[in-house]
Amino acid sequence: MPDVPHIVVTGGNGYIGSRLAFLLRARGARVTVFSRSEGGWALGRSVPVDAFNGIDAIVHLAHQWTGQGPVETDINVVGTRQLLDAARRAGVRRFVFASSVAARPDALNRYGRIKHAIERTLSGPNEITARVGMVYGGRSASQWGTLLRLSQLPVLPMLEPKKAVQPIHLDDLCEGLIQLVLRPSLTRTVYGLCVAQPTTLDAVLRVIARIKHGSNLWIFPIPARLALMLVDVIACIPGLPRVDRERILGIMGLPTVDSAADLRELGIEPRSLDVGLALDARERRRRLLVESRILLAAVVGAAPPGGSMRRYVHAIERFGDGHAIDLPFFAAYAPTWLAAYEPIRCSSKPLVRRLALAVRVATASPIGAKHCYCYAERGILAAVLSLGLVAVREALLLPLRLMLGRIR
Amino acid sequence: MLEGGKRHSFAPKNSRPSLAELRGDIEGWRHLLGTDLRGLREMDAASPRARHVPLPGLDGEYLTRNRLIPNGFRAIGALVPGGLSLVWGAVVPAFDRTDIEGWPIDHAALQPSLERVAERIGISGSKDDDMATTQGVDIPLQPALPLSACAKSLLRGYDASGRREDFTLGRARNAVLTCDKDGRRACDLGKGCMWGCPRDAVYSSRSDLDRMLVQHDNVRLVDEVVVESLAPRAAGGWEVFGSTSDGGMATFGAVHIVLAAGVLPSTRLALAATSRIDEDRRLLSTPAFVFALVLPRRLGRALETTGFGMAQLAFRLRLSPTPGDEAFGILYDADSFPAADLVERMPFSRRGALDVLGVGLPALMVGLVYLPGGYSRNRARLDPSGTLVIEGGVGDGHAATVRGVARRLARHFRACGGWMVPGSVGFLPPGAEVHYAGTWPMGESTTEDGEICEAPGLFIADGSVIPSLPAKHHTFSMMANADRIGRNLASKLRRDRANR
Repeated sequence: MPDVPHIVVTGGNGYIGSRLAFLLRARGARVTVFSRSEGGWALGRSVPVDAFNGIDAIVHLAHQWTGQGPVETDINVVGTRQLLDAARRAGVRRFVFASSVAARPDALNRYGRIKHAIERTLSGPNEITARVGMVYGGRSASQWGTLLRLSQLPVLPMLEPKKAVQPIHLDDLCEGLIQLVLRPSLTRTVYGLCVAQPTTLDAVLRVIARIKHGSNLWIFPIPARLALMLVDVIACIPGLPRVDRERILGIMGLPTVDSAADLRELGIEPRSLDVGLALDARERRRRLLVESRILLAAVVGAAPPGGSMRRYVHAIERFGDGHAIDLPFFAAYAPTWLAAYEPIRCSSKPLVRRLALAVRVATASPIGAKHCYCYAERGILAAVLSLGLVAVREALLLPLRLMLGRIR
Repeated sequence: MLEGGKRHSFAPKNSRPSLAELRGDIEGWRHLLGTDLRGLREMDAASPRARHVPLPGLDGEYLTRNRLIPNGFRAIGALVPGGLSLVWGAVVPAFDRTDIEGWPIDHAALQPSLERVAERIGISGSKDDDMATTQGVDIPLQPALPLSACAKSLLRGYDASGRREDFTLGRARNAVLTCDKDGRRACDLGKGCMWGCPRDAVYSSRSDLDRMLVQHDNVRLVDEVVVESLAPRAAGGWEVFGSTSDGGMATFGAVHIVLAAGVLPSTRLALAATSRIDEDRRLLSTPAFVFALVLPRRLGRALETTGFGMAQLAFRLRLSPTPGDEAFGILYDADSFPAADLVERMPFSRRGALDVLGVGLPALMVGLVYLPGGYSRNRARLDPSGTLVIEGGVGDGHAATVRGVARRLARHFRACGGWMVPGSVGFLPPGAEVHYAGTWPMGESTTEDGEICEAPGLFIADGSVIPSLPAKHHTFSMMANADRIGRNLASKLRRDRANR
């Protein structure tokens, strides 16, 4: 891949696509979105001859939900074939198709059968299928939106509540897709993008209810026919949340896949459901900004400039786990006292690593640089006095660091 | 020529603001951290320059593609034309007669190549101080880089304290231009060397590669191909199998193959080509440690706004009466490094460490000391799956040896006006100094021209063929040896053609 790869994302304004496009751009890639709302492109429309000239990779996420009739002539299958032909003609180096773990010829819902039909059109070594599990996190949309709405109900009748599902957080999925696009070589053509260890559907819904709505969800099993009838009834009653039949069938028909080796190859460690749900992107970033303000102030003893805070947050989102760490309660009011919590010669603790990052960010700004790079004479006496004061302060901090540094 | 990385043509930029200006500029972070914030990556014990210069493969792809598994050993490499020369310290002492004792060639055979390589890469330094003999007296040099105030002060103290038998201090030799050369521009003394050199004043083999491809129309570079294996052809010569970055395979053939992929990949390829599975090989490195040195007479002074930002001084410490048993070291101005790298090694709180640096940085130097290869105990072995397994190690009593060396150095520097900071000695893990050598020694596993004894036509020209490793940096002498091997091979080919 070139330094600045040019990547087309179909469905790039959708639930997954918009996040994927954002993260790709954050990595320095050039992203062109193919979607109905941007440029008026839609699956099934002819692809211009030169549309993919100079394109390094395509991530095909777009899906039309309105199709009917035989699967082989479905607009998704036909449209994907057109895309593939155009990509092959233009010599695009990687085509990644976002399929589903539900993709099977005998899938319960039409979606799974269509995905399976599309998978069969992919043939080359660089035409990659990503079988995506149950995606959650991010804005309320798509199947995640359905799960959010179902978990809002006080009581949920459900077919096969012990159905094994393999959720994956939206950001982990996007990271997997990015790896599939950017990795120079891959060992196979089909990858499972979902947690390796399945959980049960009722457990997922209960966790969503607890974390997202602060409520307990009662689930009781019912026959399939009755479950779908209830969905139809709910749809007729004004004021009640709407639930899509096709998505219910999709959830019920999810098989499990062995994704452990795939995730290992791609270097993805999916976060747990608890962690993934606890913080959405906005809240996560807000906490990171608070952390950046505290830690940058702790290392230079002054309010940090906004640019430094943004760089700190970007660095954690880009190179770290993207989450704020727990800080002592007083840190927000007296950041400089964090020095009492710094372990001595220990680089593995989260606080130490974040402080190290804060030092790097702070010393690359004039405010932080003036603390450690002194381009003016100060005289030997002033220097010795300053060193003496620092020595006294550090000596006073030492017992606290020895005690508290072990705790945190 | 097969190259694992992707080739980019490189055009030196005119200039970059000096380090002092960058540190005071609100937009300076763009240079100091990179607009992609690469300077904020979490990295473990890699060179400070590696943090700031983008090096594809450094994150582990180099190991995977070259099938290397290090255990207790830092195997560092990059998949980019120029490789680690893009981030090296550019310290270039030459091996002397003592250093190559036991080699199958004498120093006279190496000397012309040392001179040719020195002319080609451009070396600045001095022949007028005590370190000149250690670093090579018959080497063509550009004028020395100006010394920093700390370095001057220490060197004055050394001159005033009288000569000592076992300790020598002088200017470092640097592969850094002080005069423009071949499209590269002289150092502008901006002091930002750790952030990469926009003028290409610091030598990297990338500039050689660019020039060679322009000058010689019979050279073809195939990039993005990592050589997987070599196999002898029935009709003579060798078949080379490589993998491309997109997962494809590429095959090449030649009568003569010269391996210069770096010691670890070359070792693996040569072991595989000669079917030496599970054979335990010695891998030399130069165990290293760092220390901090304070010059009290510089306390309270201002940091200099101009200067050279890498090794200022070089020193040598005799370890025992055995010839060649010497430690070699270099000294940097501490303010050439990002403060964050220094803070990591200080026992204070972060705030306290920054405050200490604010006062002490103008008086602080950082030393890096290497011990000879005989003090290392690394092993390399090709396992049946074709992977090179590297076990890192150092000699028995290594910690005590280092403590002893540090104590003696502290005494010598104290006489020069510098105080080694107590507790500042830090060990580098085996291999972290990236001075690898000795897996296919000349005169033992290969001929004196680097041809593998039982594999005619297969040559090795990198550090693998160096039979013994002194403490001093080996890159310059390794390049000279490669130059010698290449010229001897070319002469042989010309003779063969004339005889036909």
